[in-house]
Amino acid sequence: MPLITSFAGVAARAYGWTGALAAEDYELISTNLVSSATAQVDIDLSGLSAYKHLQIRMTCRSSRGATNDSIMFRLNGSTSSIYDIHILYGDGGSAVSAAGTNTSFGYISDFFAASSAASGNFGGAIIDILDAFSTTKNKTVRALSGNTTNANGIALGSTGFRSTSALTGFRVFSNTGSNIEAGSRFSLYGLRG
Amino acid sequence: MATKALTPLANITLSSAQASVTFSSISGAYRDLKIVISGKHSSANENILIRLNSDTGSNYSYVYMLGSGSGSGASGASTTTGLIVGSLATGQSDAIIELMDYSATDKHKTALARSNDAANQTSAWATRWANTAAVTSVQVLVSGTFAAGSTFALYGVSA
Repeated sequence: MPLITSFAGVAARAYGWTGALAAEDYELISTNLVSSATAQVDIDLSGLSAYKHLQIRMTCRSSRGATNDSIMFRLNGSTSSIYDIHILYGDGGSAVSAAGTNTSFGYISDFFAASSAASGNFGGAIIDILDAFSTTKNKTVRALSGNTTNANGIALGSTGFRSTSALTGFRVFSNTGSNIEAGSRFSLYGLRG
Repeated sequence: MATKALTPLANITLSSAQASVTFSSISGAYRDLKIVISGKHSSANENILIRLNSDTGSNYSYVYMLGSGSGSGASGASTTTGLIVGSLATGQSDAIIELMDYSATDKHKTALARSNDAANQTSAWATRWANTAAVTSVQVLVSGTFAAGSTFALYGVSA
């Protein structure tokens, strides 16, 4: 149940976790469990405008011939250079920042396990998409991701998508052209507001 | 038909200081677990450790980054005896841990965590239990003791 609706003219919502959550506030919409290796996973966002924000929770493993792979996303199928990304990550030895402007993809993580990692090792991410269906705002996507493999990493990623279009799709893919392996899982949640 | 995403499973509030709390007989009906810790250490600054299914072996690994106000840092370890998911200080601290695919039997268990100790630092952690068994118990522990009044909440995340 939303606790705060406005503060000093700025719309704000807070959600309280109580012992009796209202079913309609934070809901599971869909889950895709990959059954065979695939080049991309498409999460359909059409018809979900009853929700204000979206969350994707995922575990993923890549077929890349290395210990880790970079998994990125695109919105509404757009390959235009209208994404801007900022990353803060820890690689097991240093805290590092990186950025990319006018990229053709948004950032999830560089630290998902790949085929040289131990069997069973995947890696996880939680992705928040704010105001996903607004037609007056560019879209902001943030990701918390990480894994421990031979290439360790914990990352905070921020993506700005310079489009005010309501979102209709979220595509996940390997930035190295590898496949997303069977067993990878993508769950979509909606938050009403 | 949409499904409620979060289900509260258990809540523990310490009436006296103790070194650990355990959530046991965890249902496998969910996909992820969310653990919310809000509390204090009785006397020092220590890492928060989680052990799964009573495994005390060196079957865990972690990597983290932190900011302390005076600098940033990062480190990790490939073999530890628990998931390290944050830090606890004598001032109010918190950690939210997302244990992904805890009920799956084909994956190692990856946890992502954010931890805040307002007097000292903020941190983010990725940590992994190299075991494909479904998780049925979660022990949260610290070197020393959690102070009385510390709370531990367990939620199941549907998927």
